[in-house]
Amino acid sequence: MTQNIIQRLAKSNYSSPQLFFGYIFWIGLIPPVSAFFGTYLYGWPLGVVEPVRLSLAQAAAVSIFYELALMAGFISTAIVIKWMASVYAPKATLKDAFMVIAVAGTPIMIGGVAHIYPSILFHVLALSPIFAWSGYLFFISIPIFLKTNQDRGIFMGCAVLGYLVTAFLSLLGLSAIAWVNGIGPNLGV
Amino acid sequence: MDKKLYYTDSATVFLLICSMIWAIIGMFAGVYLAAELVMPWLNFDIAEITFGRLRPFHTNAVIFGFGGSALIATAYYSVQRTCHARLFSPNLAWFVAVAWQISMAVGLASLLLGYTSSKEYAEFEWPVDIAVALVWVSFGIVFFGTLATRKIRPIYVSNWFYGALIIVVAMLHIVNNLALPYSWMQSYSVYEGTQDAIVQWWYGHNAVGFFLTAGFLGMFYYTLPKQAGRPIWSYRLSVVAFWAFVYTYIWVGPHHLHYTAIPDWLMTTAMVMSLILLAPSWATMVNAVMTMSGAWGKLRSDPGMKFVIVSMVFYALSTFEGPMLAIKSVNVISHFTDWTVGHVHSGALGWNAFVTFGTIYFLTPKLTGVELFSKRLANIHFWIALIGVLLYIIALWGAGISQGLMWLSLDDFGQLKYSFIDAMLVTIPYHWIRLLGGLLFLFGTLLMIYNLFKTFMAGRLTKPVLVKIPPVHKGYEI
Amino acid sequence: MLKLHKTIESNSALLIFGILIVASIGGFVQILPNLFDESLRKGVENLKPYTALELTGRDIYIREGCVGCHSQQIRPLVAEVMRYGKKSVSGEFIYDRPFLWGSKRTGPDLARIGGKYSDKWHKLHLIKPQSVVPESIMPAYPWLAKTQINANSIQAKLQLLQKMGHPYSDLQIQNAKQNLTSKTEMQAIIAYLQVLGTY
Repeated sequence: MTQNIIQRLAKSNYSSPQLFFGYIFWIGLIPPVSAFFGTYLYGWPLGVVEPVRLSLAQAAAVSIFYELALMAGFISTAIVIKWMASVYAPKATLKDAFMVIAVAGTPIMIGGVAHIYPSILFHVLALSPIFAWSGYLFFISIPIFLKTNQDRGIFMGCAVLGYLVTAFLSLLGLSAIAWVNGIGPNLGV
Repeated sequence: MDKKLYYTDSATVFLLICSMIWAIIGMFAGVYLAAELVMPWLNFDIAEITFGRLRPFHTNAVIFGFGGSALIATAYYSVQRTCHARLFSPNLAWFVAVAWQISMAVGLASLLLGYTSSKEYAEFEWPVDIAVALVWVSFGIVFFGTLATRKIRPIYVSNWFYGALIIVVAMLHIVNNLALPYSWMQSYSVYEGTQDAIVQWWYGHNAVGFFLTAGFLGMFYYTLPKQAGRPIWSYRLSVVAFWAFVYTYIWVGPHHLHYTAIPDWLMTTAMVMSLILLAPSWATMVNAVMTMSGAWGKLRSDPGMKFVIVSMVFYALSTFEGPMLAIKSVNVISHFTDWTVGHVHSGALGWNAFVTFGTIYFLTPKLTGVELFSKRLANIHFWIALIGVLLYIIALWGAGISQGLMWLSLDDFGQLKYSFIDAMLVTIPYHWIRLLGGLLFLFGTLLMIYNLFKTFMAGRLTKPVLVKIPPVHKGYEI
Repeated sequence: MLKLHKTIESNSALLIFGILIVASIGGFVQILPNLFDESLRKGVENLKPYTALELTGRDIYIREGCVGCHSQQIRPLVAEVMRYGKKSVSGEFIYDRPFLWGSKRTGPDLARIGGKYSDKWHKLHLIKPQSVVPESIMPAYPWLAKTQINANSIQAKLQLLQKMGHPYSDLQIQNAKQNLTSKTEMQAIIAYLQVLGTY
């Protein structure tokens, strides 16, 4: 059934800006806005001490960075998909790449609403099935949207996955560099 | 029948079986360690299984038992076929195979009994070190002897990597383990304090670089083109990548010692060389990806292929994460935390274990003469193992960053914000997830053993596989 | 260049030597100068070599794998110095064979644990960590209190260290075995822990 829906979507004719500004941008707001409320209103409980509370300005700053990182992530992933498609799926265009992101990213973005309840355990329990579902959508939608066969699609999916983990890791690294240089939590370095 | 006209693979089969047995033993120890961290009562007040004694048991069993046996097995298999020559001395090869297992067993038992040098990945005490050195030299004789008696003139790239493995590991092992004994099973390092730290991490990082990377790249450079049915994409790239790799890797050891008492210039050199190392590492990955990119159809018919392909994804990730962690600013956060452990396992599980599993799934039908018992089971293994690794590394990213930040956090008055225990408590849920990841990975490995066992049993009913050494193409003879 | 490589890859001897030479360079540059760097071997003032009891304790620390969870290296970071004490310097470790800087902090750093807790606290903690730190995940080491020190190798140990340059007197070495009689492993490891970082 999912495949039928994706095939129908593949027949649509949205352009990349339409997809991004008309859909992806809006669902992409859900995690940062939820994070703002969760962090500002409740704070993150870390062990035996008081929950970590941020001021309005700090919480807003974190949410804005989160939003920017997500947008940069979406756009860069679309570009990387298009770039890799030259080898794996030569008939694909940039808009097809955005379609993949729109479909596969939807569960994760909607799942971002979990940020309203700041608890690590809750996040793990709630987001694990959501990420699994997104992964599934990702691998089925690639061959359909990018107009290639299933075998190439799996190869391509693995390659994009490689990019995603590397990009996420770079984000961790850049964050660490920022923190150590004074941007963010108060660290005694 | 003249044996000399055929390749000899019996030692390979023996070693692959041993490799899988060590995989189960070593991974089970790993899972038990992960469990001890969240359920400390599992230590049961028994000295031999407490975390501190079990940890080196786990690392040595998986690296040298599982990894080492697989490396020797695949080296024997591939060096013959890339040389068009029978193993230089099948008897010596068998000696290596058996002596390696005995050394491992004795060494690992001694670790549990508390005989340890405490130097990471070099914990075996001096008698075991000497035995290992002798076995390793014998391995070198078999390998290089086969190269020297080859019938084909050029030496294929996988053999450069195996050769680097043998030579450099010999150098590292001997230099780092230099110690003077005070009893039949105990000794003190000839190096002291800071010197010892520098030598240890020159060894420690290059144990990873040459044992766990170069050696497995040798495995990979043979298996991939065979599985994909296509040649390596760029010969030129493999030449440059190899030599740059061998040169650069040796320098990066001190990145394990950032902000310690070693001289500053060492830290800076290590950081710079670690960043440079990204290039030859990713060059190999690019070569691999481009080689694979024509082999579309194989993915469905060959379960081992999925393992080999995804191993490259984790190879890329680990060889990116390594240099990143070697940046001093990042290291401030990550040193001493679970982030490092997560990094180790993304390489060890995602790269090493996956490429080994892929290679063994590929070799088993060839060695037994029968199809793999169940392709479906191998596919299930793949997905379970993949989820296991992902859970493992994501959990430890969470734990590591939490630890790093909380240890360094100051409150508004410039005082330490969190006690050590506060940070420890935050890592507990992450450690439970890591345990789950490890359990899944172990379970997948058990599925593989079952699959291989059934395959071997079926293979016993057929005639032994004998592969005649094919003639060398004109123009390539020695 | 590729022609040169075609030659190397057609000759196993050249390949072996090539690898050996290329792989040795980094080690030569990084390790050799340090072996001749006297400043790395200059002890801090008042640093004494481990006594027989402390050395025995250190070897128990190694035997039980304590280094797998505890580091002994304070980095020059503000928060770290606040938490553990003065940053670690090279001169403190000249009598450490092998070094025990560690690479993981499942438990806290112990570089300057000496004198911070009483002997009684250490004994209770080692027999059952949760009795003094309720949330601790550290394993228990009750056998340390019940095991007498095996002093058979202490003279060999001290003689070896003396040979390697540690300033032990012959008298110290002669009396070492006696000094360890009827002492438990617990006393040894506590003696070691109490001297860490003090000098």
